Amino acid sequence: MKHPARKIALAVGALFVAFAVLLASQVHVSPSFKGGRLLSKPVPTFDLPSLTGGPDVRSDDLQGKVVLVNFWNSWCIPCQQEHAALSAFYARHHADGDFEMVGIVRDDTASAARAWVRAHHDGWSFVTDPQGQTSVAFGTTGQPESYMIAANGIVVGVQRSAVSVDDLEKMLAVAKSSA
Amino acid sequence: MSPRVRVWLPWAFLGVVLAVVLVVVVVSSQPSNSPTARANRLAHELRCPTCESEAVANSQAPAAVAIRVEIKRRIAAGESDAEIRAAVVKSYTQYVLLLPDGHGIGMIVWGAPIAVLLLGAGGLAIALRRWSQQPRLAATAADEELVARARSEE
Repeated sequence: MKHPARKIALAVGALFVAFAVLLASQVHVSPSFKGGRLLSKPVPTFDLPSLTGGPDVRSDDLQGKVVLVNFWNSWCIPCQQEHAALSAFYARHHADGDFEMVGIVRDDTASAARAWVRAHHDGWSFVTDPQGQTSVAFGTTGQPESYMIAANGIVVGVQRSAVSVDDLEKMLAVAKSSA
Repeated sequence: MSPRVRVWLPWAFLGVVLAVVLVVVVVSSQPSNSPTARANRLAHELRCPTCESEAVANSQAPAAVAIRVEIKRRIAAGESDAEIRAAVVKSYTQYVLLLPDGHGIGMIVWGAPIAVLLLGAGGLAIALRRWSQQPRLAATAADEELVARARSEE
């Protein structure tokens, strides 16, 4: 090799330029969280205290049932907007026997959430997540977020915005077909 | 003292000084392993999932607060930093890591500067060796004659 130092310098320069191009191409790319990895994965285990004074709700006790987990709170407007859909969906399916609905309070005081539930006479289970452990385990970034869990414990539907009855029926159909 | 020893002694001394400095720097920069220090370090390594490129440590967003609480809970439960990192990544994907890991594009981000450094050092070493092998400037007979003539004319 006649000029090894020159070739190395060229290689260094080329690497430097490639690296600069790589970084420059990412300048306007704003990282954003596109959703967790829960879809098609086992639901995280949880054991949460009831909001309304009933027994604790444990994920293990829900095995064998289709479960809709809904993260919500009393002050979020989309949560209030989806409430009618949740109520209608629950009224349609609560007698199915193999179906449960669990509302997990996220980023709210227990007293405010409890007042909301009592005012709306909701019949499904409501629990608090005092340390936010379950909300982190689900990878939540806000509320409302809904997770449909099939009877085999696999998450088959995730929605990170207010749900409609149609959304819930579609997720339920997937849950029932995958069991 | 032999000339050989006289040449190598300063280099040996320099090597010892560098080794001592290196040891002092490495020892003094060992991170604290107290639970608080670990929690703080991890919170700085993780991205708040609902913020714009902000560490969990610096955000008051509910998700960041919940992750900080989760980090402390897992430390208290005896989990290692790697286990805690893996648990948060399981919930929020690799996106949550502010420091790139050693896979995919992260490998390029970590590897490219090291490759450039190694190649640069190699190139410098080769260049220095070549320069040292080049004959030093020496006066030719014509130069000597020129100087002698200039002196005789003074």
